[in-house]
Amino acid sequence: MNSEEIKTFNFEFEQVVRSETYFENILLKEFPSEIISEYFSGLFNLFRQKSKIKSGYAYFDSDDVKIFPNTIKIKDQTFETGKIINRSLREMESVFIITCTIGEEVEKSIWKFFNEGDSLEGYVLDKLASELVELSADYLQSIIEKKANDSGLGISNRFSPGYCGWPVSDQQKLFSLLPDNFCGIKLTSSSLMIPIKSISGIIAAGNRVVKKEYECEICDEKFCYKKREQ
Amino acid sequence: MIDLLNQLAICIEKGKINSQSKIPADMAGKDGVEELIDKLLRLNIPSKTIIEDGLLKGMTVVGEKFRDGKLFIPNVLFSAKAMNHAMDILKKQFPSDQLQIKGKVILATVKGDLHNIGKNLVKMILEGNGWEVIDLGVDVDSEKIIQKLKETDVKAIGLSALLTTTMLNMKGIIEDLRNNGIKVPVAIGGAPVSKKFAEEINADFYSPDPSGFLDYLNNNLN
Ligand code: B12
Repeated sequence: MNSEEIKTFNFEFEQVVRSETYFENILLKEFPSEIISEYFSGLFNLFRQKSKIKSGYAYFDSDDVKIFPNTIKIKDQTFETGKIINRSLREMESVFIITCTIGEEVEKSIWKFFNEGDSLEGYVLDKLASELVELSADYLQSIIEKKANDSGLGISNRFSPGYCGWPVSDQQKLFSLLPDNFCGIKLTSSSLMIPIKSISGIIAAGNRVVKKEYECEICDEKFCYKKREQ
Repeated sequence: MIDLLNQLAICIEKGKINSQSKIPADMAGKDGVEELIDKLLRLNIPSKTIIEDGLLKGMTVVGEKFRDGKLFIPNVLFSAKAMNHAMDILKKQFPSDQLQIKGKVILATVKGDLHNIGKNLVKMILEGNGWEVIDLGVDVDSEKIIQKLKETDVKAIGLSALLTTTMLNMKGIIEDLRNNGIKVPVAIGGAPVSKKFAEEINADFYSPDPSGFLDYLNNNLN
């Protein structure tokens, strides 16, 4: 792999969502089964149609990457990743910056539902959409893992600005290392990605890098949902 | 009649629209909001009574159970759907009736932020409980709020944000309002917002959920 190798992918819905009943199962946690097939089958079709999954990575090799106790440096950008994330990056030699989006069409449908007073449909579609971005990032991660493994490297979990003490404002630095409009994502000056249903992050690679569980117990961030759920 | 009104309240609570609707399973085939309102109107019950002693009574129970963790967002959505349906029927029957409201509340997602869902849920809960919501949408600055306040009488303002970067804009909005002599109370919410942050930026109220805001409105500004 060469430094600054950049790759983008268009994923099909079926590539990312491996099981036909995946989303039904998600909704089963909140809705009685008898209504899901009847009430939401049209919604599932709309969801599938409107989702345009794009993802990609930019790879930076050891010449471009440095790790410090509380920060990491990629090319000329220093990221305030913090000590919690850095514990998992200790053996990092190179890094993938990743982004993923399902596009703005789904977003528009969600707005339409709410505007027309169909909050139930709007809420459900929003939930499915958030889930799909995460699945897409999982899929991208599996592609990266395979690629790294083929070169004899291990990879870490993915870490995102805004989690585990890494400030969201570092999104500005992250996006400065990506081509403009990468995967069709724009970053606003308030560090919001548009389309909304997008995520960003980094995955470390290296000979001795291994995936560890997220270490919530050593984090003191009160509002993080990972923590709330524990 | 009281029996019919009580049944109506239960249908709102359970989100039962008409006898054919499948929700909830244990009320299959029974009268829903549609049939009950029809019966009440045949008895010449005024729309005000139907709303206050049937619909709003049901929504109050929903609000309380949601606050106490006995009902969840989907339940509230089903109730809201039934409630909207009921109001549509009544509005068709009495197009000129001014439906009684408790007061107006402005809701907005702050400048720099486009996250809609949290605000929309707050809106639903408030509307379902008799408050009129003026939804200013997303990416809203203080100017837009001040403009609206000049046009109409508002009891409170609710601001929402998704990220720690965008919630900072709440501070500027509150400052601008106060500098313009506006004393309308401001409540803030959203995933990254906390009570501590609310105190730091001089917001009047913080709640992690819509029902806390509803209680605040009902108890202090009604
Ligand atoms: C789903 C989700 C996503 C989805 C979709 C987001 C969306 N806006 O649609 C995806 C996967 C795309 C995503 C992406 C990101 N996310 Co996110 N996400 C969440 C999650 C898990 C739930 C958000 C949600 O939709 N909740 C459901 C709605 C209904 O809840 P709500 O908006 O909070 O509203 C409720 C209350 O807050 C309250 N409320 C809301 N407004 C108001 C207003 C008033 C006046 C009152 C009284 C109450 C009130 O009432 C509502 C109903 O109960 C939260 C964590 C969490 N559990 O909150 C993180 C969270 C919001 N995300 C976070 C982050 C960091 C991100 C990313 C920046 C990560 C990244 N680098 O990729 C991106 C940013 C996306 C972008 N466009 O820029 C952080 C934000 C905190 C921070 N550090 O700034 C959170 C809090 C997670 C964390 N770290 O703890 N995210």
